Amino acid sequence: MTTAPLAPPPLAPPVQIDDFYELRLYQMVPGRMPAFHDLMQGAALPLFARHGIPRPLGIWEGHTGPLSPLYAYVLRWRSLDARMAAWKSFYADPDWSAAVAASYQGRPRVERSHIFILRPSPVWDRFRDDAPLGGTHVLALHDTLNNDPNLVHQALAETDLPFLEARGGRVLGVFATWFGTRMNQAVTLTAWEDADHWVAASRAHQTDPGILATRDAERGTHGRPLLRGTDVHVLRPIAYGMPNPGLREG
Amino acid sequence: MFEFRFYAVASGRMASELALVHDMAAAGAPEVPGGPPGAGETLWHRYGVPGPLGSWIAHSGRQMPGFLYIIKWDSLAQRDANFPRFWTDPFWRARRAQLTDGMTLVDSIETWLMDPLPAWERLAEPAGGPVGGVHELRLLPVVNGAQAQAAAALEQADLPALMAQGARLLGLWEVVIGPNRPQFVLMLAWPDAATQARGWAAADADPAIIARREDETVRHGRPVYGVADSWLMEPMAFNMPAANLGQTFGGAK
Repeated sequence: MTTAPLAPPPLAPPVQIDDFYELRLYQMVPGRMPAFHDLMQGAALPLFARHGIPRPLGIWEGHTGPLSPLYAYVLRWRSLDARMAAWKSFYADPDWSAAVAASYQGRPRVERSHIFILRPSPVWDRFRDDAPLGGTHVLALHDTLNNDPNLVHQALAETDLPFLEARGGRVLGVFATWFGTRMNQAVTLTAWEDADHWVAASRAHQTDPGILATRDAERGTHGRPLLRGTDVHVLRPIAYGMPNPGLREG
Repeated sequence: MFEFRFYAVASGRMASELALVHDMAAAGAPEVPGGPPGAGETLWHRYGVPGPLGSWIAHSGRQMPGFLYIIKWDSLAQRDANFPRFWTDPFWRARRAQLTDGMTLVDSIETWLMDPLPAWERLAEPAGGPVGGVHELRLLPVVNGAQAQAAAALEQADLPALMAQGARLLGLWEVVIGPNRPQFVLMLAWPDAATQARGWAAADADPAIIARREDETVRHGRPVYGVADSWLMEPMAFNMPAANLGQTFGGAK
């Protein structure tokens, strides 16, 4: 008679995580943005190609929000180790140092940079389409309930984003934060025909009885609304970095 | 790559958070989910998650009550293949449920990626055992474009002065993925809180450091460091950090 081997302890299933969006937010020195565009378009983007940094999926500037004046762009990566190696190689390139020195002339143009790694939200696919985008884009970083982050993405997909779409908003992207800030926060990027359409929708979203009832129901269930304390940046896409619908590549 | 994790623990939940972290990263994993600790490997080891280099609670700083730890990864592929998988682990879920009764344990988790600065290795101590006392984390925003000067100032002026006052260097990094860059992260160990307070007061009045700051102001329009965010921390007995947080810097030290 043989003894049956002890069953191994149950483990969680393997995961495959290989789709990342790098959000780079540059808080500019006031008055130093205009020639920064020349540096990015003329020097940085060609050097990105040399070092394996992909072309940005979108490039924006913003003058309204917590980091303005703001220069922002998004890169897509399949491997964060490749991302680390590419940026290290880029920053070590003497051509880049020379271009920066020529542009800055001893006076920096960027005050601070805030670099976050995001992952696509599981609900993003529900909002992808190919209609052309308007000229006002809105980046929102939501403070979300940490206890069960999936609830927030469901709420966005079922309540908030359809509400905004019904008022002319287009969803460019829905993300969850992964590195660089509080993790599991929701990030949304929406596009609008113009700023007035967005303002009207924002007012409606903040005062609509149905939305308010949803938030009250969340307070009853979770002790707080699923979404709160959102940071909002109003952005204008830049001609040399115009995003495709759904931030599609190419 | 060093991953720094800051937990804003829900008010009144620190004891539960410490118990959970202890049971996952320090104690032997139970035989069945929700069971008593076993005698073998930790639950983290089952998933290939390295033991954190140190675990701390904060006594000062923002978003108190705070719990912090640092993990060193060989690669981010290793990290993402192992750590997120652990978050759906049935043992972890069972223990968390026991400790929290379904209520929120942590309000938010901030996670940064950091690279060591070369000055850390040059100032490192000989390898040594657990470092007690009071630990201090300082987040140092650096004037953009002055990173090299800021690192040199730390290495040549600020850290020697603080070490002369009784500080030991535990770690020094630059934030790669995170907010408010360029930003350095400095971790010190002090024998006690009174020495820490005296040490900073003395460094702040040190003529050599004052002269350095004045020179920086001439060159950059202001000192190369902005206003620091400082956290006074207590290392947890179940995971006391070693000298240099256990880094051997290629075995040379």
